[in-house]
Parts: sequence; C-alpha cells; structure tokens
Amino acid sequence: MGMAKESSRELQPGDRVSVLLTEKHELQGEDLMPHSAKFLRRHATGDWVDVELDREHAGGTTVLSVPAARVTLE
Amino acid sequence: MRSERLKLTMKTNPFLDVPKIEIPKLPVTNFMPAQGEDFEAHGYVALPAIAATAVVVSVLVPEGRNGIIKRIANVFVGAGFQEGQGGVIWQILQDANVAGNLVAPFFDNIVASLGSVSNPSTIDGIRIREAQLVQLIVKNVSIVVSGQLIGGRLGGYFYPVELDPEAGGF
Repeated sequence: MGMAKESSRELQPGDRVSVLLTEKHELQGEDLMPHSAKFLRRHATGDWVDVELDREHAGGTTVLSVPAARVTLE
Repeated sequence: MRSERLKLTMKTNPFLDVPKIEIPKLPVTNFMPAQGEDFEAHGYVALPAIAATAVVVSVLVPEGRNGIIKRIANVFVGAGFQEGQGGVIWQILQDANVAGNLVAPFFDNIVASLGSVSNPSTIDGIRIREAQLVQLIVKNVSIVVSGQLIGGRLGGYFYPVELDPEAGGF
C-alpha cells in the first residue's frame, strides 16, 4: 500500500486510531471522514487490519476489516 | 489329454463356480442413475456491503426430480479476508423459496473456503427435492468493500422422484 499513513510506531492491540472511511464505511466517496476506533489486530498478509469503531455501523457491527493504509494512530 | 486337463481346471477354479450376482440398480443417493442429469453451477458476485447478503449460486430443482449436491466450493477473491475469522459467512440454502429459508444442516455458518471453484470439495451429499431453490449465499459481516469478489460452485445430479428410496428421509 503506497499511501500508508501509519505512524512509524507499529500499531498495538488497544491503540486508539483514526480510520478514513465514508459515512457508510466505504473506501470510495466524497464524504470521506475520520472515524475513531480501537486497533484490534493486523491480518497475516499485513496490508489489512481489524479495528473496532466507537460508533456502530448501520448494519449493527462495530468491528471492521480495513486496509492498513486507512488507519492512523490518534 | 488336453480336455481332461481343462475339466480339472474348471473343477478346481473356485471363481468359475461362483453364482452370478445381479445388481438391479445402485442407490441413487450414491450413484447417478441412467435417468439422471448432472448439474454444475458456478458464479462470482461482488462482495456485498457490510451487513448485506448476496446470492452467489442458484439452482432450481426441476419438477419431477430430486437430487443430490455432491460438490461444493466457496471462495473469497481479493484482500481483507482471513480464513475462519468470520469476516464473511456463507450458507447453503436447501430451499430459498420457503419463509425463513431452509438451511442445509451443517452448512449454516461457513467461515472458511471449503473448496475452490476449479477444485471443489467432494461431499457425501446434500439431498434436495423437486421445486426447491438451492442457493449458496454470502453475508459480509465486517470487511470493507474494495473490489473483492465472492465465488462459489454447487455440483451434483438430479434423478426422477420415483427412484427415491422409500426411507429417503425427506
């Protein structure tokens, strides 16, 4: 992922992070905004991570798998 | 001299005295009968939005036929999926026509790829009945959509209803 925005420090479970997604939690759109979340884990492939959003998705879930490039340390 | 040797051979060869066994028909739940027709349905769909469900493969059992699903596959193509983590969940519906859907036993909450589309898993069989709408469906639980695809395959055969064993379990 070329646009990695992670800080130089490796994210640890429980870190407060900001996730750049649209209001509907999509990657593409004009309404991209930061979402506050807690970092959970990094996928084995390394380029995706799991986060737990502070606010619930319309579908009722808070845990999302997102590209690591969209996650920054708060 | 030669005919005597032949007689002796016939008497001592146990295989020549074995009575002929006739098998009128093989069980339709294990073998496709001559009147059967096989099916191989496969498909790919875009990963649905989070909390949404999509139909990957759909098979309508013809009138006058029952059937057996013998091969299954479900795959995730793209980034963001981890085997067993539950980011997406597949289900095999024995009948999507009934209210609430009839889910195939033990295929209710599939969290791993059970076979690829080009190399599906062979199973002992999911029995299906005439007019049932069999579907492989997927629900996106938590993976942000980024151009991923979901693939699947259902294979097996149909056979005439009258060939079904009486204790068929339906």
